[in-house]
Amino acid sequence: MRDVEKSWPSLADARHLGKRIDRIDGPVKVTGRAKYTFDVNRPNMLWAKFTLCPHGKAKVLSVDVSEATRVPGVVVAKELPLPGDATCHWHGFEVAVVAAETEEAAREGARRVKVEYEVLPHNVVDDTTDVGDWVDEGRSREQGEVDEAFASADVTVEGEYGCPIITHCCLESHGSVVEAKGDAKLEVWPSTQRISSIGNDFANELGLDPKDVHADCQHLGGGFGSKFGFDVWDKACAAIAEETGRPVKAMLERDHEIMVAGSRPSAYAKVKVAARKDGTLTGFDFESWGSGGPSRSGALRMPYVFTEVPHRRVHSNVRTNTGPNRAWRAPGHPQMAWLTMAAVEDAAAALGLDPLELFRRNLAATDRPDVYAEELDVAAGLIGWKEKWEPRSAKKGVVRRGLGLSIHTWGGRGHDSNARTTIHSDGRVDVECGTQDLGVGTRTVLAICVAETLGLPVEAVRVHIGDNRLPPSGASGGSTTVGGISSSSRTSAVDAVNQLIARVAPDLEASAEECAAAGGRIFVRSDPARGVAWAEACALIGQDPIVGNGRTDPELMNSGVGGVQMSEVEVDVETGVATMVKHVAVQDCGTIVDLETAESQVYGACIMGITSALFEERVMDPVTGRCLNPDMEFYRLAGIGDVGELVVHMMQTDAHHGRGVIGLGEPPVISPLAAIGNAVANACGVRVPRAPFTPRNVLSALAKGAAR
Amino acid sequence: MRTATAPLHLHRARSLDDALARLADAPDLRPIAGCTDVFVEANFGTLADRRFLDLWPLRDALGRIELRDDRLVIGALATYTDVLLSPLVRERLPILAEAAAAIGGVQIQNRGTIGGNVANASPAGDTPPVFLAVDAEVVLRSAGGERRVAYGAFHTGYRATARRPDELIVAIEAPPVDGRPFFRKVGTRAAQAISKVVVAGVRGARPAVAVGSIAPTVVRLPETERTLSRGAGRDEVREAVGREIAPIDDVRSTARYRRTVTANLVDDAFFGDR
Repeated sequence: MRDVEKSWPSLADARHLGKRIDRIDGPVKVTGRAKYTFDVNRPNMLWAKFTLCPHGKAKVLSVDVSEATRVPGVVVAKELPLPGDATCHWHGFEVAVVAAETEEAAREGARRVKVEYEVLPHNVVDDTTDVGDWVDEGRSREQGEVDEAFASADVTVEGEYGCPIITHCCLESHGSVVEAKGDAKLEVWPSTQRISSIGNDFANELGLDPKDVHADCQHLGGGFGSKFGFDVWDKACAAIAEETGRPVKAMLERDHEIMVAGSRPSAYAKVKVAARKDGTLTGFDFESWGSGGPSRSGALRMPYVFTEVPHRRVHSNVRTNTGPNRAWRAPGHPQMAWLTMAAVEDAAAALGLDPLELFRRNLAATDRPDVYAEELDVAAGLIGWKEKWEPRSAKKGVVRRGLGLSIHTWGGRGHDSNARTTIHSDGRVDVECGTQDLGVGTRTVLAICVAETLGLPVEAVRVHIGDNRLPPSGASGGSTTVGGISSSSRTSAVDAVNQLIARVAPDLEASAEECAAAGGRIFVRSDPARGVAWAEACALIGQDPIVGNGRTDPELMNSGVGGVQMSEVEVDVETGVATMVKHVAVQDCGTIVDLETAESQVYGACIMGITSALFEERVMDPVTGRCLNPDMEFYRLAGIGDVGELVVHMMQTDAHHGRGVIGLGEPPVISPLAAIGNAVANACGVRVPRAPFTPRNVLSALAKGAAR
Repeated sequence: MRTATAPLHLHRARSLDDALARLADAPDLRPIAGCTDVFVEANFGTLADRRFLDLWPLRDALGRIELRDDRLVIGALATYTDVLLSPLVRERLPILAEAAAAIGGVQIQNRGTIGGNVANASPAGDTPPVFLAVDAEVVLRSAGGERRVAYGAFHTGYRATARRPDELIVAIEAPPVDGRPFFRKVGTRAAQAISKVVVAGVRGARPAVAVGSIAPTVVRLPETERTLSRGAGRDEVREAVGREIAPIDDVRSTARYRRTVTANLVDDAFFGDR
């Protein structure tokens, strides 16, 4: 038996793990002391701005920077390398970069770069497959006896649903600050989701030794999957920093960010559902399409969650001249959930069944029937489904309420991570991990895991992240961070504390195996009075601190979660305005490290999902190929007044706690669109087929419904 | 491209007389107060003016909300927040408080002024339909004296008003309302949203309906009002609305949406059961 075991303590034994603990970097954030890349300003720094292609697709014939170089303050103005065909494939494609003494001068310089274009035919339309050669038809896939299912169905329901391309719209736009340090050394402050490896890209770009590039990103204003890249702006900063010997900063303007720095593919589908009278789903047929920009977007693997129902699916890719897609929080899942759950809800409505009952009846066709069954009960109780739900036909009056639901799944296994815990002779404790905090509470997780292991208060642990000189840790994507860093920090702290116990045990006249660390003391388990306080124990360490190393441990983490969300909306059928009343999210994620930041993750995901359901769409002009709403007045996000009441319930029983840590970033953002879309349909009495559920989309669906 | 601010000149008014004297001397001076519209122009690079007269120091004199001869007098420099917090407004013209609450967010409400909303003369402004519906008057003053303009005559075209360059709006006066007033704004979210359609009116012996965001200026719908006052049914009223407005498609909404929803809102106000 080990002195301090590697495995997580039980819910009952845990001092910090699974409790509600305030995020440790809350104060520096609310007081503005947290430094984001956007806040990094270096002495003698240049600002870089970009000249962007104003066309959907155009060949660059010539670039003239001479006028830009004459703008007072401009230091560098140059053409950027273009693809082999010298063609810009979307509005916002970077053609030239200008660096200047001030942001204003750089902007003015970028405006004065003269570019001659040959405008080429483009396509920005993706909500139909009727766009000629711009469509690549996919292969049909089939599982089970689909034709038979439809032939023998009691009822067959057909519908068409869709959601447009939306963008990441990170609060902090993308960018970097780059400073050449002389002696072929580089200092970079990128806004990145992978601090441990991004420095290598800067090194490659400039032909430097990777160990001579120091990358630092202490705080990140959101990434959502859009900040893994080594992008045009990073490369441009690096080149200008090398050329001028001066620090260079490029942070994207909001329009630039919305046009090019990441988007979520659109998804549309004609869906047929076969079902029995009792609500058993017997078949699905999906004919889907969507666009993620000029290249291929991922195929949609539907049906979502109800995977065991016999099904056929074929997905076509529509190529559009729009800024390319990047991973958007749970790639593909929100779209698949919407296209599947809307069809399932419509089937329930056609059968005159309560959709909650229909979902329950079909859980055997999912991967986790028991998890969903329990979560459906919890969610239904929290929203008052039984008391409030009425069929669509019962809705009357101008302002109508409706309920909707959706269920989802995600993996979330931790990534490779290394961590180091250091115990100093004065009692101080440091944990170091080359991870990054996207705004989710990563520092707090590390502090909790180490404090739990050492038997100390959370505030006794100093956390160091966001630096590529720290023990390397994986990129933050796919809900992999918390599993990786909790296990690496736990094992590093176990290593460190067991070294400390080994030194203290002889003084306690006990073997190391007989000792434990808890409550700020090292003591003999069988006789807790025989022990020393933490500071006293650490005084034995001597000059060289104790260093514990740890890495990702599969036994401390797990994967595979389920979640249920239910939504109540109010729709004004005269104005078409849909308003959130209440949204309930029930979620499991194995061992919860910090209940408070876990809940915060879910709140944030719900708000992001509500925004996508009610407001977000990137609007393109079919004639010019230009993005029409690259700003935050017309690319709308929800304000706090738009989100209604949010209720979050985390599943935290001994059984859940015993599974190991599982990531939580993606799953709760999957269901809001589907749950809200279903609630809107229930309220209106007709399906509003296309997200977002804006006044115009709602009113036109109502008008079509009335005409029918 | 944002407007460069270095070449701009700002004069801070020391008193109302000082402000009026400066305007008399230099009619190109643009009066400003909360600047909530000016900053939008500067941000989009469309700010044409170069010289500004800052009225904010006159808040004590021109920011009061009071009752005079049974008329509600809103000082031009009263902010939306002042309006929201005023018991007098709540009692005499609650729809003005509703309109103020619908504007921007808290920061905008703390800075933006009633006089500015009226002077800015945006067809999508939220308080003009209220003033138009209740037959308010705009009180204008110049170095030469004071005059009053009926609200219906104040907005003369798209972003054009009856204010002369040497005049300042000093107050808006609203007579007592005879009937039950209503206000509805349809924006796209709870805050920070400019109207797609905004309607204010009075239900009573002399029905009034004023609509914003559907024409170059905020407009009254006289035919609709006549139809309502002779007790016509809802279909006839909807038809009257349809005949009377000719909205356009633009960035914030479509003509079809505006036409349908204006009719819906009038219908709801006069025939609905809410």
